[in-house]
Amino acid sequence: MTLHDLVKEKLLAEGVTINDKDFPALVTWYASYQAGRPAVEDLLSLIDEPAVAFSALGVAK
Amino acid sequence: MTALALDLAYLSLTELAGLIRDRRATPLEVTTQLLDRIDRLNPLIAAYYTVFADDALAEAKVATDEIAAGRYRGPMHGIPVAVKDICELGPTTAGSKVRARYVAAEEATVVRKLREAGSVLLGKLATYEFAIGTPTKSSYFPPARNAWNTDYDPGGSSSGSGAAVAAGMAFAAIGTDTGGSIRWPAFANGIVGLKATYGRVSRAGIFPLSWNLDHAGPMTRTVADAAAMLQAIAGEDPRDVTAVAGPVPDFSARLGRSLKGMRLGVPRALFEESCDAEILALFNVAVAQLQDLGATVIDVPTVTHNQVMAAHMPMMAADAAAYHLPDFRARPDDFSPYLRTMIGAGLAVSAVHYLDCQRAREVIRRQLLDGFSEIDAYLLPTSGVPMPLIQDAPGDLAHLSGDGFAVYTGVFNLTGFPAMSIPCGFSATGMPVALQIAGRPFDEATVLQAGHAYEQATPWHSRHPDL
Repeated sequence: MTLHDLVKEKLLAEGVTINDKDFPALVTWYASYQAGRPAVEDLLSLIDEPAVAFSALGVAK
Repeated sequence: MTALALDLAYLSLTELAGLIRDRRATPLEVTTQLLDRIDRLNPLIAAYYTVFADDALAEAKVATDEIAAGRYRGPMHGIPVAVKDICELGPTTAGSKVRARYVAAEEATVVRKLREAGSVLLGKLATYEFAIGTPTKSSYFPPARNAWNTDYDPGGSSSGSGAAVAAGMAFAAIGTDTGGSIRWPAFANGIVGLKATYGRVSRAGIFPLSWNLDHAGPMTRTVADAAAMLQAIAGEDPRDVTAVAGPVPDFSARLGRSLKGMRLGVPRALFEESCDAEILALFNVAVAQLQDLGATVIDVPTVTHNQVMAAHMPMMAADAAAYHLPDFRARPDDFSPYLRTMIGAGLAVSAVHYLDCQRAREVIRRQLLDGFSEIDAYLLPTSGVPMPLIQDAPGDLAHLSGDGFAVYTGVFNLTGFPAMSIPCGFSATGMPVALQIAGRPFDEATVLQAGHAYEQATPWHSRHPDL
């Protein structure tokens, strides 16, 4: 499955159909998020606490 | 001296407050003069979508009468201010065709608090579409213009807030900031932008971009003005569970104090490789000036810009997608191409990816929090890129993806730390450049103290566009 098809399938699953002209930029953006995953995983490798999560509805301490 | 004899446009908020308190100027005179200026300049700057001329004059008359009767409320009393058009107050468009005819039934908490402080609400200010979608000359709502050169973008997403304050079309404005949308337009317009700690200012009644990254805060011409406006809008709010309960400190208490003994940390790894050479040179001069003022400046370890963007962007896009999904399903073509791209990409982010970003965010927060064992505040450029020209049409949006957008503000949305942008010079092309100071959670006072000391030792805050 191409990245284009994957993204299209995900959007269809959310009930969204999108014009083909929007897809090249959209796929590029999604690909950039995917390209950042190693950087995210590098950060996670720095800790031994697997459940660490920001309290999104809490308060910055 | 009568108030009408003064050129009020570029007075600071606190200078004007002194005149009003001492009854050397009345809110009605000031508001009348400012509305005339808005009438003259808005066709050029396009900072306002809506001007509440009649209501503002009525509010100014009430404030004038109250002060004449000895009921002066404080530094915001009678001060004409404006708010970004994602804050609910009358017609609230978010700069989008999607909300073009929406009229708010309630007012955002920041608006209510400004009213309680006695401020005069001038109108609603231009914004990037839903606080993210970069406008072009072909956008449904016209883009605000940079007051220093109207061919240039005033930054965003609080574009009208930045342009209005820089152009002397408001004494202060409310902006919002999810990845830098107060501080980047502050950089672009040569003004002060303060994003206080996450939880310091209620977001109730403000259209969300990302529930867990959004902040609201002041955009002003001086640091003291930012402290005064923050004082008015800070504090708990039953309408926003993230707004922190308890007493609000005096944000102006440490203005004017020496920087002797203050330790500032420069996270060079965050910006040095991607920062424009001219901006970096101006920043390094500012570092030396802060040392001359008594601060100790050291380089400190940090995460990279790439790591920040990798954690920040998918979360922001997914949060935006969650908020906009019903409209996006029903009428996607009412969103601009930029919004369609961002929402679509956000919809595709997996739950696992999102949670990993949240976990990575906490690693970043802990790392930067640990840094405060050695320093009192972080010091870095606000942006590493000069301001772009306003485009005719969206064009190729693909280049806006990834970490190529070298604006160094998002890290303090991830961490929730208070961060302020203040001018630190001008480029060879005459456009403003700024630095950023960020402090410990809920230690806005240190940020304001350092920013004020720098501001008072430099001339940048006294320069204004010739309009």
